[in-house]
Amino acid sequence: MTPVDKDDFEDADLARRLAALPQPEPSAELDAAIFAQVQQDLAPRPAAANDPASEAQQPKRKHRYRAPLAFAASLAGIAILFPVWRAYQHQEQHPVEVRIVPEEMPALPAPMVSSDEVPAPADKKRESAIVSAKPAPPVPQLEMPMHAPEPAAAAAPPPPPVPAPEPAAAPPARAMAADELDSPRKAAARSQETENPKERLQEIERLLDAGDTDSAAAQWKRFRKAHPDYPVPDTLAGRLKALE
Amino acid sequence: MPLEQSDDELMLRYRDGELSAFQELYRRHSRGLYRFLAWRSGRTEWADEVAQETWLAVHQARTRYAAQGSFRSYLFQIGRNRLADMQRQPDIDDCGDLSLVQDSAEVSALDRQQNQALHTAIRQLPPEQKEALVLQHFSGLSIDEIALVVAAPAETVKSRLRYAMRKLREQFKQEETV
Repeated sequence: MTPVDKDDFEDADLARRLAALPQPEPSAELDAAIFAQVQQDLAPRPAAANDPASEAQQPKRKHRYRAPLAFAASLAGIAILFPVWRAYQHQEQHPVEVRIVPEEMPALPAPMVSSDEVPAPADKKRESAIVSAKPAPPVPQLEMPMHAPEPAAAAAPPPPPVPAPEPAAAPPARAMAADELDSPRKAAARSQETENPKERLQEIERLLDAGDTDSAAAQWKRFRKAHPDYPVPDTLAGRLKALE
Repeated sequence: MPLEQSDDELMLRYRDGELSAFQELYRRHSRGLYRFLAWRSGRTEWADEVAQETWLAVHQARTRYAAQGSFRSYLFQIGRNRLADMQRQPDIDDCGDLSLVQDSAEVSALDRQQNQALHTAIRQLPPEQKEALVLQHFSGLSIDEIALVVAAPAETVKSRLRYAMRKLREQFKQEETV
């Protein structure tokens, strides 16, 4: 037997003796005391508001800050949504002002049409539309272009009245307006000429009486083109022949 | 046959408030811990006090327990630190008087004499060697577990155990020759 084997044999024998050695044991009282303390701590008990809870019963940090976080989130939501709501309310109030404008618009064309002022380019279009619409029965669609082109101007307060132009400037403006009449107005004028030959003859006779022979001659030429076979009274025919 | 739950599994159940899990842990490790504390302190009253404090410390810290597969090392570390705190108190006389536990009536006089000799030989070992010997032979810890408890490398623990056994053999031979 080598020394190492002998040591191993003796260690095994010693280990057996160590295992057989009587050992101190915890008393039953110690076991009971430890169990009682642990059991008492684990048992659920009614919690008071000022009761120092154990670590297991303390609320987690996430739960502790739940209510303040919810309150802060509500405040943030109000701070974000309130301006949006106010802006929406303002947007709802603007259409009310816009609706007032069509009620005011009919008052505006009256001075433009009745007075001899120089109309603005936009106003000219309105005027032509009104003139062409007058003989025909009123159609609601024809009035729409009056308001549609300039809603901003309609929303604004009516402009101050333009001072009346000098009388000398009025005839060219009127002539220019007559030249710029669109085809519906000319068509209306032509229809007047063709439909009332008797009145046209009376008009020519009035021009002759007034001594406006040039206008009477021009009117007579147009009349004859339009009504070549219309009977003309002898007296008027004699006066017209004298013109020719 | 259901598999026996590990210490970590029991500790997790105990953390969730299950008293039976604690009872099972106590059943497994209370004796080994008590032997270690009694041999290291040399006083049964100290062993009682420190054992109670150790288990209550485990109870208080159960929610922070990290399952790392060595509950026994964790338990014995707490007990060892508590005992060291107690032994550092200035008014404590660190003179161990742990007496041999009385054998049963059936034990022969020769065995009783050999046990007394072995008991004396263990008490005369250097503290580190005695601690390693008690943890291995009386508390059942492995070399790695002992290394964790005493905060020393495993090779150091083996060396301490080797020296302890050699000294015990030598003293045992002297007792036999006497």
